[in-house]
Amino acid sequence: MSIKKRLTEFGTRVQNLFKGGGDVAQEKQKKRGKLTARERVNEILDTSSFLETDLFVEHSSTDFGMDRKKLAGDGVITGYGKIDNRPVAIFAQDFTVAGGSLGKAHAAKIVKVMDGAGTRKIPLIGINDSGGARIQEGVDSLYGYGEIFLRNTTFSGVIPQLSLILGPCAGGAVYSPALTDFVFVVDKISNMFITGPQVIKTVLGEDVSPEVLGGARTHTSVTGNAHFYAETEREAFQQIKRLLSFLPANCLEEPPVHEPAEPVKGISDDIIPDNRRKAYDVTSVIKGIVDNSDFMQVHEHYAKNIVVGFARLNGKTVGIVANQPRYLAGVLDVNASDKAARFIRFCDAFGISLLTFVDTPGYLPGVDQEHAGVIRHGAKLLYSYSEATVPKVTVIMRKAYGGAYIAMCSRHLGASSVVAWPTAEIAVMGAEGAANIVFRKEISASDDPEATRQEKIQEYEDKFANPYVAASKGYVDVLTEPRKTREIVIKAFEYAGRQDHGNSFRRHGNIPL
Amino acid sequence: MQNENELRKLNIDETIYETEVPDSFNKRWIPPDIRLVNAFIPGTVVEVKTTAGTVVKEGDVLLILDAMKMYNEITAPVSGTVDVVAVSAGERVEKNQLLVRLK
Repeated sequence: MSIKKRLTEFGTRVQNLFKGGGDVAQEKQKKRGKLTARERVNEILDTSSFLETDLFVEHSSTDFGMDRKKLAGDGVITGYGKIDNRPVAIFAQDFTVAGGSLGKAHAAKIVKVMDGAGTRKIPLIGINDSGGARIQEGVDSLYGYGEIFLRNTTFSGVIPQLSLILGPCAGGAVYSPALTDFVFVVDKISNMFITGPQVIKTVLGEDVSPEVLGGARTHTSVTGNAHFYAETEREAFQQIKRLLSFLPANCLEEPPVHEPAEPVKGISDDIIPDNRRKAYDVTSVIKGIVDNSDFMQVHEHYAKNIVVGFARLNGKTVGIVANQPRYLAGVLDVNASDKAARFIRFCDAFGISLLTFVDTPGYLPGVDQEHAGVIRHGAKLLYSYSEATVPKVTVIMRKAYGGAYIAMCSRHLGASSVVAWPTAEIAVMGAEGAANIVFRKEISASDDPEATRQEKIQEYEDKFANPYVAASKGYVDVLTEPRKTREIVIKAFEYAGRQDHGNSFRRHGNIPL
Repeated sequence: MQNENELRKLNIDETIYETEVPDSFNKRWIPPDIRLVNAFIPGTVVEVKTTAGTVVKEGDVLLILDAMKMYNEITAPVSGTVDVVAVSAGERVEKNQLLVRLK
């Protein structure tokens, strides 16, 4: 064969493979409001940076007429590229090819690019758009999922792993995204569930739409399975780029350092309301302190009583955890503890310093909470803060009561520095509750119990509802006016090193799950 | 969904805070009645192994429910006397439907 002929043949082969499942299937994909797998890869990555691998891989299945079926790339696109000029590994399941179903060769391509990400120590981005296991291939597809889960786990805490759900992701397939660090979903496109609406209808007789059962809104606000919600695929791509800008490529590297920048608007001393029962939005405090007021929330719509996310201070990435008085008074509960603990452990794994803002009245009371295991779940927060060896700086703004005070990265859990505002109230509990216990006898013996109660509440408040008792014992390192917080916190991080618990001989701890 | 900006009162340790409270939070907890044996899943009653007035011990099999490709033994949650058998063999039952009441 002449060179010319060979090149023509090559060109035709590539062209055919680039068509994925063919023009009709591609058209159908677009009609669903979805981009094609190739469009997705090209849009996420820097222009012309994609190096595709294994385009010519084929399956070797022969059962059920599979030997007569050619599947382009076996239904998945894999390779390497750059985002903001930093290398990443990527795979994108192609729904137009046999419904993006996962067979042995499909899985082997994903496994190969995952291993590539692991050895190169670069982030992995997975785009899920698949009907599930390729039934014709039988247990080989289960083998494939297992190999992927194993790698999701062994690379956990080594490289950041991001999952985009851009189509169906059902049954066992959901566990790959679930094992990764961050899951992105898009309204009306993403669906995740273990058993779909049809099975639920058959088995339980319950009618539920895919959207309500496991759509983007459900997973970002109800289940917490997804971290980022977007209206469109392109918005999700922007979120991925923004998120990666805060993260190191792996656990050995430092997070990227940007040009330091002042907040757009700093905070004034009266940033929080006089009345400690009044709510405010803690994100206004965060944005008033961090560089450029640029704060990217993680799990924004889930467990809104705690806020977590990434920002920069003096150019360096920090992970922020803050009670949100605006929602449920900023109490700690099952979901808030899970949300914060997971975030803290991510930051600790990737060397991202932790900045904590405290204003919480305590734990949420209720049978629901107790029966949901708030003890076990709440323990995760204590565990993850205690375990974290990254620099930890805590700012106590207002209420820091009881167990919640300890849990929110107190000095006692190993905070590098604890900073408090003059408005801080560090006490074993709020004045009302405490007065009723401490002065029970006086109150009940009084001719005017209500007047005595108010008097005693005031007495307790005057004595304990301040930062000075804790500061006098060294539980608070620095007291400052709110407006100087940014300056103080930057210094505190500058002088804080990584901590060593001296237990590197242990395999791993046993976090309550 | 409630108005995002609506603030309600929330009592924590006898201090009342003004804050957003989701609707789901206001559901009251109702203690479960352990004398009621309900279907944990829809299915078909295959066999009824007890009758009203029978004295049963905790763990005794009351009936067999065919569901999830299994013959599930439905047992007495507590010891007592069968008050009502609400289903018969061959009957299809919905989730949470009453099967047996003890007294």
